[in-house]
Amino acid sequence: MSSSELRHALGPMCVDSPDGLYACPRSARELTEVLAVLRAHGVALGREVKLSRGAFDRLEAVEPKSCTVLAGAGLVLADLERLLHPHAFTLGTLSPHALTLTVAEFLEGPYAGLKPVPVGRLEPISISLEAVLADGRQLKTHFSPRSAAGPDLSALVLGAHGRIAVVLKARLRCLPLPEARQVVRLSFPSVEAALDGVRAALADGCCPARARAQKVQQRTVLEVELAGALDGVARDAQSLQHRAPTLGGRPAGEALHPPATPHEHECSWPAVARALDHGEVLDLYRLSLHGAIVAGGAGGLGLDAPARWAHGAGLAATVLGGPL
Amino acid sequence: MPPPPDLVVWPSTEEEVQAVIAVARRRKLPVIPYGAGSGVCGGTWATHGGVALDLKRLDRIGPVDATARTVDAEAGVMGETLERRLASEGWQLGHTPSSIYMSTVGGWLAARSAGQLSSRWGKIEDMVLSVRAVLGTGERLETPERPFSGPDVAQLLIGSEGTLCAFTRARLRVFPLPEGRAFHGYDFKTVADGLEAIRVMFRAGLRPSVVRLYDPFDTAIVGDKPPHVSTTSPSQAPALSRELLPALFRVLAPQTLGRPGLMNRATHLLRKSRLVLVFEGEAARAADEDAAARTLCQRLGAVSLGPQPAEKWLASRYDVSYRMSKVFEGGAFADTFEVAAPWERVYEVYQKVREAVAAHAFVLCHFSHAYLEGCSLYFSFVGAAPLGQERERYESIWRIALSAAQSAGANVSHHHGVGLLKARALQESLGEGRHALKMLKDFFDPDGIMNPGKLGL
Amino acid sequence: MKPMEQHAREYSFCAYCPKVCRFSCPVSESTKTETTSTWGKMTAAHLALTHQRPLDEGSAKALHACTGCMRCTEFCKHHNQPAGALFAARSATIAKGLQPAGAASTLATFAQSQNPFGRQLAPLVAAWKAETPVRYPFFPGCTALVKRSELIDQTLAVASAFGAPLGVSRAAARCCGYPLYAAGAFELFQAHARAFAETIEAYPELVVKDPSCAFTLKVIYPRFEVKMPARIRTVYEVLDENLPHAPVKPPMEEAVAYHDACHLGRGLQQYDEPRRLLRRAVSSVREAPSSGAEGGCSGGGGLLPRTLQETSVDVARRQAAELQQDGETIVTACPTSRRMFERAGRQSEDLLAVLKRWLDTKEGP
Ligand SMILES: Cc1cc2nc3c(=O)[nH]c(=O)nc-3n(C[C@H](O)[C@H](O)[C@H](O)COP(=O)(O)OP(=O)(O)OC[C@H]3O[C@@H](n4cnc5c(N)ncnc54)[C@H](O)[C@@H]3O)c2cc1C
Ligand code: SF4
Ligand code: SF4
Repeated sequence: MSSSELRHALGPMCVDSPDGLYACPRSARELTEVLAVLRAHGVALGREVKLSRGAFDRLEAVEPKSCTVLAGAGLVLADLERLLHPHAFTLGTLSPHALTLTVAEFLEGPYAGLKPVPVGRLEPISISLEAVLADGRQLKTHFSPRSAAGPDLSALVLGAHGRIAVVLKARLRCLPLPEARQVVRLSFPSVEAALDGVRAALADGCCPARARAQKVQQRTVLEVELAGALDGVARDAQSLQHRAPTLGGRPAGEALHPPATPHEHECSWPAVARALDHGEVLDLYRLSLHGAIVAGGAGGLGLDAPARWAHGAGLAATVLGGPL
Repeated sequence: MPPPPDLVVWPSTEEEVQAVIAVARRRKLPVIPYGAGSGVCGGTWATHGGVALDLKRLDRIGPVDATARTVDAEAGVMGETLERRLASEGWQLGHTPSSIYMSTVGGWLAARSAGQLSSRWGKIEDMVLSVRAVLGTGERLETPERPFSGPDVAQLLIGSEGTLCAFTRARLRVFPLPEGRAFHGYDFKTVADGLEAIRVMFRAGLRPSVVRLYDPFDTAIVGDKPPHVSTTSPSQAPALSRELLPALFRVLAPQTLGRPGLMNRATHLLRKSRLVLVFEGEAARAADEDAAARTLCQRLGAVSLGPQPAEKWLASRYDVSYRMSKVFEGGAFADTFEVAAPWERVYEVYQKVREAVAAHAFVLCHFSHAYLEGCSLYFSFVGAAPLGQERERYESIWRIALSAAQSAGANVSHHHGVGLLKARALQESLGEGRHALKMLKDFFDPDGIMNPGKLGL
Repeated sequence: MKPMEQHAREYSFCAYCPKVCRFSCPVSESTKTETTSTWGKMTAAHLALTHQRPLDEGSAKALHACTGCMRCTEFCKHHNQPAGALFAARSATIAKGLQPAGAASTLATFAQSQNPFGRQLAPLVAAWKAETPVRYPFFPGCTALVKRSELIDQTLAVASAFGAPLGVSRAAARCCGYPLYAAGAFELFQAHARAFAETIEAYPELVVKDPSCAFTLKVIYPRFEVKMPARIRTVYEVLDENLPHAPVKPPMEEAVAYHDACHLGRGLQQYDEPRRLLRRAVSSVREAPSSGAEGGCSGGGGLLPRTLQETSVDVARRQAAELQQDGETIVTACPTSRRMFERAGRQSEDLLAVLKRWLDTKEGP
């Protein structure tokens, strides 16, 4: 089928750009129509026709009590962050690369839309979302903090590279804008001790915005940035300072230089340890007991480009295998 | 009586689970995964007969990986056994549902369970790193641990209540046993004030492990007396409490509980709402968070009651499970239902459900399992009906309560799951999204043998 | 149904209970069936008593799937006592001829010899004649008499070393009657208990080695309105009381795991006494994840080894696994528990045997 035929079939719902044909639906209904056309023509979304969610670029609602906002999937996170500030909200500290992504890319891509929460856990930044499934049907998940009403269907979207469902809007969990920031700099006798210290502090409830780490001579220096409510930051600093001495940690003086490469990977803690042992400077974001998003030379899941699915590919291909 | 299965099997290994599912597939027999049977939504009822797949013989617990802070536990491990084993090595899962003595790891995963300490340590889905399961296709699956690329299949299976797979094992996050605990109780002038205190507390970054706000009537029942601990067996109790009081209850129950309107109205006279908080973890931090919470609560007009109410709560935290016997024995019925809602909706859900149920049963509520974005509401209702009409009344209460909750903005369940009881409500609330659920069903269980009828599948 | 009526409320509490004590029952933790859970067994009794479901072979078997360990009671806020209630329900299985073979043969043996071993105990008792003055009459229990006579030697030796010499009492020629009680033969048990009480009228007190005998005499007899003329104490109480007179020597460099015998612990609330004794003798005593009042069971009580043999051994195996972290020897005060651990292929030693070994150690230079 020629691209002009497709363009004709999609009508005003598509734009022919120098980069190729883009479907630009303005509503869930239009996306459903786009999918129907593609299905009828045996074309997969993402190959001959790319999807633009540029029309979904609004901050639609701010819920001050639950600290959530309803955002279009096409909004770039850095822009969204700016839109949130007048409401005294923030998305929390996202990694530099994540900030360049749209809401959709952040949710559907390898970041899987995860954010850290106290005691070293991760949870989806989206509390609920509106998406369209491959067969054109809509999927709206409930706006509630947790649910036991069946499986979490938002997992069809998060990290699924848009191959099962395409997100159009998401209600995102925000944080109050931080009142204070503080950097705690510590040095430890070994990489393991430093990372044990981080894990212990995370389990205590300390929720750092980010950290920088490097092996300097025989010791490992850890620079932890804390952000949040005034007394919250003080508490987190205390947690770190409380754990550090038990692992041979002590205050450190000099600030570390930033990492050489900005490439981001999702790393397990052993991968972080290996990179530090190789002498890398690492910036750590989204710290949790699972690991961290790491800028700098560390091995892990590449976050800059879509990776192949490690598993569950059959899920998209077999069941939901439609034109996505 | 729940419909019985045609047979019960007790596999001891994952291979045996696989073999059972393979046979069931060939013969198109329903398979009903069974943990400890504590589920409260009819999830293990064999409505279509078939094989009850009792997973309790999968009861191995691996060693704690102290660096990664994880433990592997098989699906049939009983909750209390797991927590005791972990505690003996200085660790905890921090998952303590009221049913911890009679529920399994697999059942927790299947029903997305929440423990009483979830506000800090999370619900079971927050504690899982990966799961192993035998799918309805008969294939075995182990979900990867982060980092991985692709959707999180574990989250698609957790909460499936046996309709997609039988869980066989999970890798779970563990935490060191808390070094310290700080307890506190407060009385608020109104429920709304108490709710606001919780919201503000979470906004300020505080994460108590226990947050329980009792509505005025629940507050009156919780009371200030220390928990009653019986030391005489019922058969050796004096005749008054062994025979006379239960007989009296049987006579009075239909007359009082059978006409709940009056009692519910009487509760309007009560206003005070009790909040119980427990902070735990590193001792100094727990004390510090407790002090910060005190400032916030007092700013909202709360009266501090010191540690006693929270200590009392801890000592009697499983007691409510035992009360059922007395109520049922007395010829009345009781049940609980729990939902979650964002802070914008919580109070409205509370009011709407109370109003809707008030004419049919005696209703109380507490708020627990709090988050930055909202919390769970846990309603208990107790009622009675003329002989032969109990079931009808009971079912109509469920319908009314669920629909009131949902129209006010709550979800279908926060932690009890769906089973049969809320299957229709779930399907309705999903709207077109129910097709996504059905697609999962067709993918993981193409022959539809896994726990048919549950979740409306 | 008569003995059952007294327990009607306990049965109905359990039947209406969401099985709160589910994890605690050693039998259902071994079988993993709901039928053998406390709730399942008590519900079978409730249904039978309220004529909702007649007793059949299956429910009779379930009623016998209880070791009488009382662990469930520890987790029951009603303080229900399923052990006694289920033993009472066993009476109905006798009346209906539904008693499992193992229980029936125990009763038959008992009818012949007045003890569960089918042996004459009097000649065995006669073998122990105290040469020196004794302070307390000693009741070793028939398991020790018939199967573990070395335990009697050890107990006597330890007691002497502690300055509290014991002498095997003539009263020991009679079984306390526990097997009758556990089989649900309540009338026979009551008659036996009365006769036993009469035989010991002449004794001011008895010091008992076997926790099950002590529990029966001290706790179960009064429930059957049989007054004990003599003060009943366990050998552990007496030795603990005399600990200040025990030889002063360092403990052996050994790590052991202590198993609380159900009848000594939950039955008689003796948790600290045996531990204090043990800590004198060995350097390290490991506690299982559940111990003391909430400790597990070895599967030897309630006639389980006779009615559900494999399950009883599995119960012992499971309890051993709970106790042994690094293959430590399991020490217990109960001869039956020890036998169960051995049947489960685990290393086990009686507390008195450990004390005796300790007394025999040569002090270092
Ligand atoms: C008194 C009482 C208090 C309770 N308190 C709480 C509480 O505080 N928090 C809470 O979350 N819940 C609570 N519950 C509900 C219940 O305990 C939970 O739903 C629990 O998770 C069920 O576990 P179970 O092992 O008993 O599962 P079951 O009841 O046996 O099964 C529940 C569902 O899960 C499925 N299932 C069980 N095991 C597996 C498996 N291995 N693989 C796949 N599917 C499986 C079954 O098919 C069924 O659909 C309470 C229940 C009672 C009776
Ligand atoms: S003994 Fe108590 S806790 Fe156990 S089933 Fe019976 S009533 Fe429930
Ligand atoms: S007494 Fe022991 S064996 Fe018997 S039901 Fe209770 S816990 Fe189970």
